[in-house]
Amino acid sequence: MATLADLSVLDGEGRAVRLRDLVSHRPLLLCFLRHFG
Amino acid sequence: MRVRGRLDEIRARGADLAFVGNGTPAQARAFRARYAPEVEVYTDPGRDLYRAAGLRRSVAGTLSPRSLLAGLRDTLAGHLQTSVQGDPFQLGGLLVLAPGGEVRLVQRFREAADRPDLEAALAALGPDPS
Repeated sequence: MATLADLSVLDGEGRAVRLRDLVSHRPLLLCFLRHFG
Repeated sequence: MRVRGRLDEIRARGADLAFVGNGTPAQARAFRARYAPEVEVYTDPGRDLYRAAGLRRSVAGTLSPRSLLAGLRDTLAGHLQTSVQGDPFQLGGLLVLAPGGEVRLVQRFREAADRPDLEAALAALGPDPS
C-alpha cells in the first residue's frame, strides 16, 4: 500500500524527489507553507 | 519561518529541515534564495502531498479575523505580502518523517494565523543531545 513516503515533491529544478529517499539517512521535519509569496 | 531559528537544534538531533510549498519550482528556488538558503525547499504543485497529509484548504481559515489580524501585524512589522505564489487558501502544517518513512508527527493548521508547536516537533525528531 502506498504511504506518504512514497509520494514525491519537486526540487527547485523541477526534478521529482521521493520522500522515502529524503529520509533514507535521518529524520526530516517538513514545514508545509501556505504559499511561497 | 520561526522554525528556521531552531535549525541548529534540529540538526543536533541528527535530523534536518525542509520546506514544502505549492507553487512552481522556480518559485521554490526563489523562496530558498531569499528566505532559507541553508535548507532545501521543495514544491508540491498538485498538492497531492498536502492532501495525503490531511492538510486543510479553507477560505474561512485563511480569512478568519484572527488570520487577518496576524497578516496586518506582519505587514506592520515590515513583512509585506505582495503576491500569492501557490494556492491562496491552502493552510500549512508540519510533518515529521523517520527513516523508512514512518510518520512520527503531523500538525495541521486550522487557520492561517496558526503557528507550529516546535517543541513537539523537536521531540518527535529525537532526543535532546544536551
